[in-house]
Amino acid sequence: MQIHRPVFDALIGERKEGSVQVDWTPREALPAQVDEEIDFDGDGQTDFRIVLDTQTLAATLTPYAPPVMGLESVNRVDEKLVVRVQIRNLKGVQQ
Amino acid sequence: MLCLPMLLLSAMMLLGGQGGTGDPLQLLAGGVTWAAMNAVFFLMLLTGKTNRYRSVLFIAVAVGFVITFITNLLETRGSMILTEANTIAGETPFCHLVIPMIIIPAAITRTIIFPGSLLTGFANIASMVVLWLGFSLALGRGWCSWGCFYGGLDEGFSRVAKRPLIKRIDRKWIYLPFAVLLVVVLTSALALSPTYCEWLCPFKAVTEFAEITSFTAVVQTIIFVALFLGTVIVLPILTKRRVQCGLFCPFGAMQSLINKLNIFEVRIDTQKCVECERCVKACPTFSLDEGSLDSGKPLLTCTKCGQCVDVCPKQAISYHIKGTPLGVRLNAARLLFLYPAFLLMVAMTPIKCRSTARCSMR
Repeated sequence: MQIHRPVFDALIGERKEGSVQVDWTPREALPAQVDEEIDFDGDGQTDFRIVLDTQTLAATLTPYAPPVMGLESVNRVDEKLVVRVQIRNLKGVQQ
Repeated sequence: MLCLPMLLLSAMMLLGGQGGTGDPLQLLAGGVTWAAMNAVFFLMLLTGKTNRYRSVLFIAVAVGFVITFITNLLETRGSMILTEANTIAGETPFCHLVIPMIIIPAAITRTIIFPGSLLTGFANIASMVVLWLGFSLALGRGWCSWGCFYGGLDEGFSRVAKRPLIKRIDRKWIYLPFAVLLVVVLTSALALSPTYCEWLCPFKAVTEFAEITSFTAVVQTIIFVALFLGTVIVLPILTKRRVQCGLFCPFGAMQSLINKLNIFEVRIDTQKCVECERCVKACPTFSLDEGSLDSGKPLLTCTKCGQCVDVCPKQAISYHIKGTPLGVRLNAARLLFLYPAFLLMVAMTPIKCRSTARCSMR
């Protein structure tokens, strides 16, 4: 599993809202259901839990931390299963 | 003899990368394209007519591009629809129309705001930007009549009717592409996403478009199709002009602005000109008016297609190299322009992209 950096990129400063991407790879080796607790900001606290059916791509997101807004998308991309989660930017808000 | 450099250079460009594939059909297609293109170049030099032959090839390249592009998409993806997965995977082919929108974000955030591949695969960002830089320096807005693989579509439709049904178009409209350019550059920088591609590109109708999964996507698709029908088909037929290129395209507007950097231009010899205005009526991109005949220069939107050069009964219009005396060595100036211009057309010929696309889009 790979957790990408949260993306709040703006032309100047950062946006109020953005997303974080989590990949599971290789897709073929995944179990029928993935159930994972994610700490995307690396503070030692679980931010959300995702339960994902790897065949149908049906997913359920349970937010644990205030920045987590909801599920943005689930996709099969090459050898990966890619989940994007909408998040709020709680620091450095300029827009 | 004058065709020899083009024979060799075009052979390198069309056949060079395919010799190793061992696919006889690819070689045959490349060979036929090479022969046809060089026959056209030979006719250009032999007859002294530029636009008559350029136009045929330009339209053929555009039609060939659309057919090849759609065929590739159907073969590799199964449809023309660009899914979110394709976007995440960076599988969107990059086209030159995006370039005005990526410059400011690239300079400020060091991010290319396009979901394509930077270095690898079909129509990657780096190769298109390098092509654009090189040929823009050489040709300026000549890109729009020699290299743009979309321009041939509205040029083709502009040749359908014998006479224009709409003859007078307010000159103010020629500023619309500059307004579109300003809007898409600013909105793309603010949104960090290419807004022209998302909302305004008429050519989405014949290339690829976003998967229709929301009301927004429905509206976008309606806009793409309406703009394609309006600016690429209907208005070019009614006006006999390249309406999309002359009155809408923001990339063309940018090329007009950077046109000053290159050495080639079209000039009118005011001593020879009898002001018959055939050139004004014939110019496909609204780049000549009565003022041009007085000043001896077309407007900055001139795409150097050569139509005015061909139709002038007094040979008063010619290709010219900036800084050289007007009216001397006309053939040399034309030839020096034709080499890079024709090479650009060869570079944009779709026959090459078929093999690379097949490899990269799977």
